[in-house]
Amino acid sequence: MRRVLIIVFLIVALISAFGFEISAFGGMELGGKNRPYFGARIGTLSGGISLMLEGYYPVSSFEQLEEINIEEIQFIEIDPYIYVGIPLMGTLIYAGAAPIIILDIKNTQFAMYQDIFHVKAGVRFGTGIIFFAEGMVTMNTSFQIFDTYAVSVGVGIGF
Amino acid sequence: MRRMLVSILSFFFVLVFLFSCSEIPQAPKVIPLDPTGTTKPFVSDYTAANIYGSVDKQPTLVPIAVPDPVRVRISLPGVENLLSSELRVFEDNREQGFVLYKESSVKNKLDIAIILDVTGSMGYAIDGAKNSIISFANSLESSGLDAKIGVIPFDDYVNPPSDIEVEPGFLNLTSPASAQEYVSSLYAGYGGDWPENPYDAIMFAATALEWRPGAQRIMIVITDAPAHYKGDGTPFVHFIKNEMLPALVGYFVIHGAFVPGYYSESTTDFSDPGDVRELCQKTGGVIKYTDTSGNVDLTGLGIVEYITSSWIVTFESDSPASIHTIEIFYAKGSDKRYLKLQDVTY
Repeated sequence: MRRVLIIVFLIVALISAFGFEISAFGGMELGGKNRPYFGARIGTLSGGISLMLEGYYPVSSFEQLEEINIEEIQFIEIDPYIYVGIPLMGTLIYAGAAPIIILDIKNTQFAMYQDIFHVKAGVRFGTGIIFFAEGMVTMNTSFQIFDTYAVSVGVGIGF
Repeated sequence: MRRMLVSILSFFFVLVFLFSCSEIPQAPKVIPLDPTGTTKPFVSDYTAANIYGSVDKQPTLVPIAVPDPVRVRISLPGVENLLSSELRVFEDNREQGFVLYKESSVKNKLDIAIILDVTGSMGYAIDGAKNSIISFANSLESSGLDAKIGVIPFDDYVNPPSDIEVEPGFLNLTSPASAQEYVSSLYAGYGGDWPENPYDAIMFAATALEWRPGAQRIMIVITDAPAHYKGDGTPFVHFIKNEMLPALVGYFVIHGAFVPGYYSESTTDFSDPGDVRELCQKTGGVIKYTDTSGNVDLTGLGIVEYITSSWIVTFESDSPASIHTIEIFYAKGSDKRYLKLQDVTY
């Protein structure tokens, strides 16, 4: 329990030192079932170390996007990313990693994958209104990469 | 504003750590690479008896950029401890690397719908069902499973059946004791012509019962009559088997207890439009026959054994969007069993 409190304290301290970003994004897997997905993220993405909480909801096809009833969504993926960002000529280049957590909304349960995690790299443009593009892979704890990738683009606001 | 967002994020992280262990089904993490240079065993050396299976399509959320694995549920009655080395799995003649785990180790909740024919010829079956539901549920619970039972009585109609007075018209998933009480209120009515309407009853169970998330979903059909089906000239039937299967295969396992007569034990072709056994076969369920009087002993059907000897085989498909043939070979000493699933979609 003490370890959890220390981690939470560190996270809160990190967050309070930076500005915030809220954005929405969409993307697609390259490989596997080629699922499209959409999501949203909130956090402190900026130069140096930062933290983002990201939510993902995959669908089976683009056609299914039109049929989604938000109230019927049961599972979403939540990834708390830790990023390292480098500001470069008005853009931000960033890379980070996150554990994979599944949230069961209807039953208010969380489940965390024990031995795989996401790794991501991206580039962000703009201030105020921001745009970004990024690529993501999944690795196991032996640092083997699965052969399914994902690419996302998004838009949001930074303040 | 910033303080509020910090609080929300902190709250989220605490929740994540507190609830990181749960019963949410997860995709397997690392599936071994497919073996190469192997050859398929000779099917003639194996028997197709005592092995059941279907593709499990119950929803799990597979994380982004994680290959979506195929999950095949297999049951090997009489096999208590199954090792990966005793199984070989082929998709379209190509051997697959797979991960194996016992289904009851990740799904200890069990929801069972009893689809019960309540027409005159089933008088003995209803008595048998009444007498055995509690012992059936007890044997499930002694296996460490959290069981709920629902009951759908039917004749030509469902909810309620037309020829008996029953209130309510069906019993939603509830405790075994409540199910026994409900079944005790049932009796055999007239039933009209020889065929009855189990197809509407099965689809009603699939859609109207409150199946629990993460539970194994099982139906047990008890009947002696062939099924009416859409297009047979009757106005009250809404389904044919081909329309039902996409909603059932992978989501439910349908076991059958059939009273001999129309349902002959020697029949192996269940494709007749009124033959319910095809639904059992294609959902990976057990097909059993009662005695000639229709006495039903749910504990004697082997369904408890089926459940406690069920495993999930997960592998990565080479082409998830295609239609496949899956073959599973089990061999332990002289015990050799073979399962073939054809025209499988994921």
